Amino acid sequence: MTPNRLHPLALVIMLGKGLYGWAAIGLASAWALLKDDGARFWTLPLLGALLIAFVAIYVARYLRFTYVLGEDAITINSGLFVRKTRHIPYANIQTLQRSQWLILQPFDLLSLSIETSSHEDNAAEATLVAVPTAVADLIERRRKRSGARVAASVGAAADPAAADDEAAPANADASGTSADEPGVNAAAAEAPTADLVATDDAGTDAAEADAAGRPAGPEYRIAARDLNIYALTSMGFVPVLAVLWWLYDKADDILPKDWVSGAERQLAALAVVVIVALVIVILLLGLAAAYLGILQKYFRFTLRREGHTLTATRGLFTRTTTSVRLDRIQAVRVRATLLRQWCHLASVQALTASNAADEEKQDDLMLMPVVQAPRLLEVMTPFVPWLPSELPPLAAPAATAPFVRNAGLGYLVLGLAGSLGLHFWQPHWVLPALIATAALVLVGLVQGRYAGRTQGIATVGPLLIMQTGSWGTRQTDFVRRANVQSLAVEQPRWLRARRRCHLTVNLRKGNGNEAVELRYLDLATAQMIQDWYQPK
Amino acid sequence: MEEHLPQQIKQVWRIGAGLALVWWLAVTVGLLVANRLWGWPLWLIAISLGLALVHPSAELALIPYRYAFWRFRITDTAVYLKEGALFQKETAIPISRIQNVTLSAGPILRAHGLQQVEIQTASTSDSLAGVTAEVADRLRDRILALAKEARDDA
Repeated sequence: MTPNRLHPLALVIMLGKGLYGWAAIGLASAWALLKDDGARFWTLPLLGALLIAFVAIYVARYLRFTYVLGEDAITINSGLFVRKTRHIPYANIQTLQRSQWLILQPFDLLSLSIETSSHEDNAAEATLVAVPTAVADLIERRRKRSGARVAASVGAAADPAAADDEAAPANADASGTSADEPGVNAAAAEAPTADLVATDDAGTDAAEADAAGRPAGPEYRIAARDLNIYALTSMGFVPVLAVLWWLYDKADDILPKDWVSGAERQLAALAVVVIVALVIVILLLGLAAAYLGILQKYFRFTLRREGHTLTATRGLFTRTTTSVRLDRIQAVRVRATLLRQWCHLASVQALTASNAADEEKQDDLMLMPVVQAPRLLEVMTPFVPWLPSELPPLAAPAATAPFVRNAGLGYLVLGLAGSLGLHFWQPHWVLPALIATAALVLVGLVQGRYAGRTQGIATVGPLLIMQTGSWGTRQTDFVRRANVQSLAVEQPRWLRARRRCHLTVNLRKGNGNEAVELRYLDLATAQMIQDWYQPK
Repeated sequence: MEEHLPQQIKQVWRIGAGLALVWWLAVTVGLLVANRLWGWPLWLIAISLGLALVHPSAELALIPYRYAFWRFRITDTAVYLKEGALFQKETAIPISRIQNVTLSAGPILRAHGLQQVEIQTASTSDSLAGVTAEVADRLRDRILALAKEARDDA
């Protein structure tokens, strides 16, 4: 297959963009150089040469850029100095964005931006700056054809013939399976925000559910008592205190000086007890503000499942609705801070993937702000069917001692370094700093022991369950094998004798990577996970 | 069947160390000029000279280590990468997770007939420093073949 070049107008557009980008610097330096009359005899030719070189680079780049529309993938060759070849299988294309510059319109050309679900910061995988519309249509057709093949084999009960090229959610048959699998097709045809879909999509699923005669899925509405406990157990008053401190700081600038110093003098004159009372009052105010804030945020939180979409609605002043398709959930994360663990509570979030453009959207969808920990799986399984009905026994790390040692050592080093610094700066603070270090080390030992005893890993069929505990928060992740992007086992030399290693599981979260690290595992456990992930 | 990186990569790394040396020498010369023209301190020159000695020689010394401990294996279903001696790390990337394969080659790699392979999944990016065209083609074919079939079972 002969490679195709872009239409010559692409050169015009690329050059235009390049000039626009460099315009500010270029004009400024040109003006600076040309100011000097005497030196004009060499600055003018220099500028001319630079301009010619600039254009020549873009011409070379244009000439080097070729693409081939193969049977299964697009191959793009580009690059002047560093030659790049990119292979993008049609099945992996998630979004095709078309845009048409004004000068392209009379020639029936457009700019095509190809995005896969791969992680690329704020840039599409490939951009074909000027191609005929027929090329864009061809890519679209091939993508749908390969996507349909993918959908057909992924869909639970779908037969290959059922997956229609033009499958739109509204036309899906009542069984519902084939409607949702071409998330690749349908979602891509809409806005790039393929995961957090607007409510009309959820409405379509609801209509489809009704059409099939099924009841509109399970629904969960948060009870006032639960919301109360959630708000009470959130330790979010520290940022509120920070805001109050900032206000005090600003008040210092705004209010007249003698006013402030008069107030400070009065404050200093008061007895220490009263000052302590004041501090407590401020703390309580901070707590109250945080409490009311959370009450307002999760007011009448409702989780609803319709077909293959979960919809969460919450809020008092602003009613926010977020929907996510079940098959887009990368992992379900159950978190419980220390306080919530003592109250036997936990909160459930869903990790989803999003594009760079969606940074403002919440990556972590809150599925359930607070739920009784023992009943968690029982409550969640109607919403996320692939969760297990009960938590299996988790394989613990080979030993807890390394965790304890690492945490203690970490704090010790930090404290000693701080004390050493203080020794040069404020010597009379060194002794209290050392005492604080000792206390921190004790805290670290407890933290390490907690982390070592909480960590665990297990597999249930195609599901991976990982539990970690850091800074007193217990986090349990439920991941399907298909959502684990890659697995890495690391074994430092000094652990070889004891047959221990570290395991890193890579997940997609938002537009980036979430690496869940499990440390000091038995080599046998790690190999079991490796075999589960990629059977040899 | 584990493969080493191609032998030519050692030469490429040596040239890279040479380029680092050239770069640090250029910096030293620049600092000398700055010292003459604007009186920049001499200890900057000492630092850059020191780095000019240490950096390339460290890279050269590590080349046999890097070569010996870098392995990879491409099966029908996954790409396995194994690297490191002090911290041995083994990464498994199923072909069905691979979204893109980017082959890039600067002039040095091209002169040796090698290409750098960057394997991107939905959230991670791993790379092989340099492989021959044959291995790159093999990897690309496997990925395309599997991208057609079903994604992994749920």
